[in-house]
Amino acid sequence: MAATQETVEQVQKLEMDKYKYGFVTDIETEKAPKGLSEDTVRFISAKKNEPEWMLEWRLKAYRLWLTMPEPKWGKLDLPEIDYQDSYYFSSPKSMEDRPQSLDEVDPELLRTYEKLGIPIKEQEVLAGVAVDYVFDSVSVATTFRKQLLDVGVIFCPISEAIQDYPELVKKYMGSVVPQGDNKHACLNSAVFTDGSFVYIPKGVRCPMELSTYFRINELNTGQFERTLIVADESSYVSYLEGCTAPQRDENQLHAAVVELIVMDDAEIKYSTVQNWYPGDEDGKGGIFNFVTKRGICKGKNSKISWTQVETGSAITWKYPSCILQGDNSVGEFYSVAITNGRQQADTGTKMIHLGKNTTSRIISKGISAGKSQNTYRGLVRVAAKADGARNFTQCDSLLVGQTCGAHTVPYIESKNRSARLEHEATTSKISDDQLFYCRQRGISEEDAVGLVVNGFCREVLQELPMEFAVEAQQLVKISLEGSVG
Amino acid sequence: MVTLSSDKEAFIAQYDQSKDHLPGSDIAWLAELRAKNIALFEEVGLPTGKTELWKFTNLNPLKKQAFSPPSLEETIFANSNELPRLLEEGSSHRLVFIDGHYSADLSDDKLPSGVSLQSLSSVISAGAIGLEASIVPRERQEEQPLVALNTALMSDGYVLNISKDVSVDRPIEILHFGGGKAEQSYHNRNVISVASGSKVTIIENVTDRNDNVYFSNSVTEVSVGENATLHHYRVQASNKAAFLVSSTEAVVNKGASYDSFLLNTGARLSRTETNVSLIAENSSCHLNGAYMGTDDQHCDITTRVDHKSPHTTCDEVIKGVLGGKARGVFQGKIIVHELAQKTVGNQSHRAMLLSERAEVDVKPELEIFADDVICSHGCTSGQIDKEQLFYLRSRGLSTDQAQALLVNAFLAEAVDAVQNEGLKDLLLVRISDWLEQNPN
Repeated sequence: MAATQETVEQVQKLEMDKYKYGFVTDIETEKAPKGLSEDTVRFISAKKNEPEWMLEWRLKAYRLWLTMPEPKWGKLDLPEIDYQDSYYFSSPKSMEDRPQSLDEVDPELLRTYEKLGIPIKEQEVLAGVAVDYVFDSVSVATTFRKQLLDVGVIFCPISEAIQDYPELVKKYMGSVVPQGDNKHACLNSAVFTDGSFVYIPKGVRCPMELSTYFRINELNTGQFERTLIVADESSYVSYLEGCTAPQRDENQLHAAVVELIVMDDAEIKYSTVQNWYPGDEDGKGGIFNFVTKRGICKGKNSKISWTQVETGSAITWKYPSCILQGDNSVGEFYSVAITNGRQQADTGTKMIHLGKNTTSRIISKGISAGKSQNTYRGLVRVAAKADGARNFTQCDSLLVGQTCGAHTVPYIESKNRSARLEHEATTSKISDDQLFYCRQRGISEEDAVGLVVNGFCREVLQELPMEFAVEAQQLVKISLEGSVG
Repeated sequence: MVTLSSDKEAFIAQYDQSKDHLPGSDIAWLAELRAKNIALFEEVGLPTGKTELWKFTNLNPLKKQAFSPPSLEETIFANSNELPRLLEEGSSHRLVFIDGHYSADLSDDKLPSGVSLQSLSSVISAGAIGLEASIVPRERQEEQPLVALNTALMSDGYVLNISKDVSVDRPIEILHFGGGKAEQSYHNRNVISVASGSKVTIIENVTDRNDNVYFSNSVTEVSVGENATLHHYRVQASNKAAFLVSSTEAVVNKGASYDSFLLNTGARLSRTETNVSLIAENSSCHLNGAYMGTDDQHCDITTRVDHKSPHTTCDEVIKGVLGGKARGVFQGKIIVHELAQKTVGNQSHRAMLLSERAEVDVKPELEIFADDVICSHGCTSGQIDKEQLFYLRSRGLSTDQAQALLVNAFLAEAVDAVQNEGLKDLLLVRISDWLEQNPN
């Protein structure tokens, strides 16, 4: 009997482990009525106490959204999205009056973070990371803000930036991703609820890594983050974004927009670890992750570096891009996308070379397992005036199992003869030799796969900041559990 | 003769006017097939930039022209020696098409045993026996409106059958000689069927006699039987006003090989599409090519290889050189279906831009549904290496000479894939000639 009981417990534990971060915290929330209409947009705007110009901007986006077609070009089996069956705003009720310190924060919330393995107090001390937590739609606590302000760095929820720095927001919001860019970005423009705003003034090297933890909590709440980062001349910032979400059954819509603006000699490094609920084994539930991320290298010698580790979501539709406008500007894209179960990922990047001597580098590693489909889709475009442009692209795919798919769809357009473009792509499976070698040395098959895959992704993972690198390696391993044997 | 501008309606009107005179109008299934295809064409229309498969190739210059159906009156050539040939006389069997029509008088009448060749029009007038199976609708036909247009309007072409276990001694050279009258359109339909164990080389020479604008929209159906080998070479050296669109669909059986090479220097706008299905074990294909463009030429090479069975192989090496305002397009898709384990698929495209306004657009695609495969593609684009140029200049070559030498070497690598020595030499000469005529 005892043995049986033990087995049951073990099995239960395994189930839990599959999605470690799958739980729902019980907090009362204040929601906008279900569905999307002009009233919803007005409700959100009013809730946020927004100025008139912001409401106008949102409404303009909403009206445009109504006319826009669903983007269909991805290699995704996408169900019809019922936009009326979703909530567009919810905030933890106890947040009406913003707490000034952590002590005032709902203890339930704090426990949630603890479950996530990021005790806030520890993080305050640790490594100087300032965390702008987004719990559903309202920022809960922003740490280290004062210290950042001392050097002139603005790091705050975007809703606050709209109140406190309207000139900056007016100037830059929508300047990289216009409202009408695509339907998902347009929806975000109309109903975005929160996100981060970062401004690094001239000549400042941000003294710490900035980080936001996104987390979807309330059932049926779409998340519409909007992030805007401006790096002024000769500045530098490294920004970390990580996501986990509780387990649930209904598909959830997520449409985020991230805009980066980089001036002369400045640099933004943007890292993402995305591990949202991917749905169960039959593909039920899971997050729809439609993200529009784009940065512009406005100034000379500027640089944008995107690094992403995508392991979660039922559907990922995401193309972090760089517009290389300034001469000598640099764009980088490092990506690991892992799909398992019935996940679908269609991700990649766009590098638009406009300025002279602009360089870009794309390293993409796709791993598909189970019954998943994983697509790299990218564009490298060299305009006629981009003399001396240089691109190197490498996209490798790894297949684990016989029922998954790996696809590569690169577009390369060159209008300049002095541009040097190189693209290479390979697809293969984990070789039996590699597995045999590991097994021979006493490593279990599952660990061996984890090891080989981690090696396959190494080029990308080493681009991540320390804080993320360790977590990402774990994530890579966990994501492939159950895919072999 | 009614002249029509060539937007969708014009072609439909052309069909309406000529449907009773097209070959086989009295054969029920053929008339029905034509009607079905013109309806499909009407529904889909000419491809536009919004059609994913035609993203980089815009047919607007074609739409601005007016084309009439080919005239039936035969152009008189005193003898076949007036016509261009690729291989020396006596080293090939030559067939001649003048303005889209088969000319029996100008073609070699003696073909080796085991080779049967008939013109499409004669096959149709003899009752179109056996033809129905060869021109079955393609998969994804809605993506190929120009194939539908061809099916509706096809008037001639060739039907080539190689019997079992025949090794044809000399290459079969097929001359497509166009441009007799300005502003005509030809819709040729060809069928190549190589029975099991046979071996044959087919060389198609697409050229013309003047600078007349014409539109050639040809479709070729190829089947390669078990353990057979087909070398299918194509030289497109038409004038720079012509529009050349061709679509070849090849089905390759067990142990068989389809080996193709395209050299393209001609046409205002060319689109050469090759789709290969590797349907049984150990089938393989090579899709190689080289293209050169200058002025406002547009050269599009589109390939698709479907690996439908385990142990299949494909190899593609394509190189292009572009000067003037020329634009090169390469779209290559490799699809490995679920069952096709142990597939090997390699593809490479390299382009060299010689002038400031040249442009190249590339879309190599891998779609893979099986895990035990080795697939890769590589693409590069750039200009002549300055170091190499300097090296040659320092040894006394003029810039033009040095450039020509380097471009020559760049393209020669692609031509290496051609198995026929005579043709290979000729292609190298063509490349040198082109470089002399087009010092960019």
